[in-house]
Amino acid sequence: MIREPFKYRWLVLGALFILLATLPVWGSDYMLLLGLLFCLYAALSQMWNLLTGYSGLLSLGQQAFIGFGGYTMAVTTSYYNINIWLSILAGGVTSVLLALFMSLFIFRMSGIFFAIGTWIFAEILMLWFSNWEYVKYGTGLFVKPPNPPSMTMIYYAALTMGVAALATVYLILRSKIGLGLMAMRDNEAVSSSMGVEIFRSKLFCFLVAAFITGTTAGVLYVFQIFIQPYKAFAIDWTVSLVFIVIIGGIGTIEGPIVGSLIFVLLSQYLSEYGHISLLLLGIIAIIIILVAPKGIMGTLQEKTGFELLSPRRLFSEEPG
Amino acid sequence: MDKKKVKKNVGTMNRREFVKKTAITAGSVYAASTLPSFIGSAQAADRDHILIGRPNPSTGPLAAFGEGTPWADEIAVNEINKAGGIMIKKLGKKLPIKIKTVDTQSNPTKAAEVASQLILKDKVDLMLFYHTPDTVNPISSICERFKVPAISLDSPLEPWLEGGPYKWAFHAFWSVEKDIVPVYTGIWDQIETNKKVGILMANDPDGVAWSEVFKEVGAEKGYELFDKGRFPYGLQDFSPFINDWKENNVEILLANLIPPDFITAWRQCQRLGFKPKVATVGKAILFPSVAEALGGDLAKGLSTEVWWSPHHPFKSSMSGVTAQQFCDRWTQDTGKVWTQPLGFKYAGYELAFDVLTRAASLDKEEIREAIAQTELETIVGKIKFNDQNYSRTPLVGGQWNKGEKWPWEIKITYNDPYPNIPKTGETFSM
Repeated sequence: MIREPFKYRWLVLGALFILLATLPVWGSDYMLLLGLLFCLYAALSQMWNLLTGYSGLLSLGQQAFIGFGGYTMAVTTSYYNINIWLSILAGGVTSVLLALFMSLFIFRMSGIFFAIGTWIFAEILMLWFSNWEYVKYGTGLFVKPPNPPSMTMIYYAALTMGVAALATVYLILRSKIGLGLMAMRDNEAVSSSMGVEIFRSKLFCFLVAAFITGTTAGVLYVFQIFIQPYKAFAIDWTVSLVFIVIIGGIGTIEGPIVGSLIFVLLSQYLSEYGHISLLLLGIIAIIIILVAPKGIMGTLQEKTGFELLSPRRLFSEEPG
Repeated sequence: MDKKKVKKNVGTMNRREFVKKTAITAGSVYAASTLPSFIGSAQAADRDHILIGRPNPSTGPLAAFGEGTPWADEIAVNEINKAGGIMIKKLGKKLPIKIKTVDTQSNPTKAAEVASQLILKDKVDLMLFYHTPDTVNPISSICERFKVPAISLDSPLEPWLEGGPYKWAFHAFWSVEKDIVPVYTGIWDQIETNKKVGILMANDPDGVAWSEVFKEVGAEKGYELFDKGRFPYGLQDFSPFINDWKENNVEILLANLIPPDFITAWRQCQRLGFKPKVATVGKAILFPSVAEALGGDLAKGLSTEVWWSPHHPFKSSMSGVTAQQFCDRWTQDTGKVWTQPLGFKYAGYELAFDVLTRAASLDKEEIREAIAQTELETIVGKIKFNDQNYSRTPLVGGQWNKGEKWPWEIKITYNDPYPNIPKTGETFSM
């Protein structure tokens, strides 16, 4: 069924953006923290969704880029006194290089083998970094930039990443590549025979995701101050991203946004409950999956047709 | 379909459409109105208490350290509040203290997040946290960023100092170089050996810091060290290490690793016939539960660092309870044998009480200054912060042996650096 997009979507999105952009002015410090975490998780999960939800690349190795981007930022700014924002960008660039190198191996695999391949790369990086004297082995590094940024600056960096990730995904999906990607995800053989350049489209998405994930990780670790290989390269990151995207709605642009909001609020709220917090998070995930198997936004779209950002270009926009 | 589309295009709305849109609007309004209740406590309340933030590794690999936390918290908070709390000059009245405990999941990333939450949402007046670099390092940095006075204990000094210089964070514990090395080499010197030392250390902040310091200082003291490198958590096969020590006729084992890994390694040592004369093991055998878990007589003769025990001649600055009485109370309440972190958990509150009493203010800068001027005899010894914001606490050496009251008991067998802490046994060769 073809539905026309929600009429006031640009108004709603614009209002949301202005709300977030002016948060440091009207919000409390704590809301700034929530906003910061929300933007970071939204950016990271948007990228995982681009890979898994749209390109059919099931990645279990996003933590490779999170750790690599974070360490690049930490090393360039703490060891070489490079400007913090340049260091964060450097993290994105090195992540792309890493993704290119990884693609030599893992793009020969598909499906679950691809997933395991990405995971193995992340594990290798964990072992490498934890045995590398330059980054102080498993001890971890303190991020000591020459000019420590304020919380507001870090927040704007995170907001930039969140918006950039959203815009990137939207633009990619509205482009010819996006059309090809969805065709490819649904049936690789047919789309290939119809002229979709499978390898190039996938690689393109993989590199874009690496760049944004690596850069976002840089911002994340500027906030965190302390980076340590066992957690930076841990599968926990991808598990969180899967949680966000699944409850939000996989294969929808709004899904990761809604999922991140829920995840951030829940994990803040539940951290007071110590032992049972993880249990509760798991129960909530199970309930949402049972009630709304396509995630919150996916099910909402299916039931009501409500869609803020549709990757589809509709013919109905023209008369007739 | 076509008909419907045309209809919509001219801007009318059918009933179903209306219901749908109303529902969405209502839903978002409801969501927006419940949001503030989620973050409601962000608003500063009328001050009727002093809030201390307590990030604690309640779950995850460090859970054994976090174990006694609720028990010690309760005792200390009751003692402080019994007398009505702490006098705040500006308000002209005494305020009781409240604590807010959150779980770090033994994860430094999570620790930074929950510490930020405590500072920004709950607006804690003071942060109090303990147990290993994974907890102490990230939280100290976060407190430094948000300019919140912070007191931490129970984590070696060297990894903590990496994050300095500190203005707001203060730390008390022992140093690897100045305390662990003299105690361990002191234990080694008590036994006649060939001075050949095998190193078994995990790839974590402790393992890295210890191995580097020991390789430097150990060589100066005439010890020959055999090091095959750091190993990751969960290693199942330690035979390359063990065979190397056997080939080189190593008589001293120097280890720092987490309990499950030590259990695996030490059992393999027995199986492969590696029997050192002295085994000094950091971190892994602090807890009697581990000595028991080794099975058989395997714990007999293992030596380790002792940062606190019932025999330490210190007492609480708040209640006058001695270390021995404090441990007895633990045993009485829980039916368990004392552990080393217990004293430090309590000492944190002694510091908090002392600092807040002297500051008599909720102004963060005044609290910070009061911490800097601390000079207090606590249940873990004297604490006085230096210009790098740290204070060393006493360290002695101990050895596990079959006990009278408990299956395994640790005896203090080396006290040269702090002779006021009495020896309770003599070091024997394994």
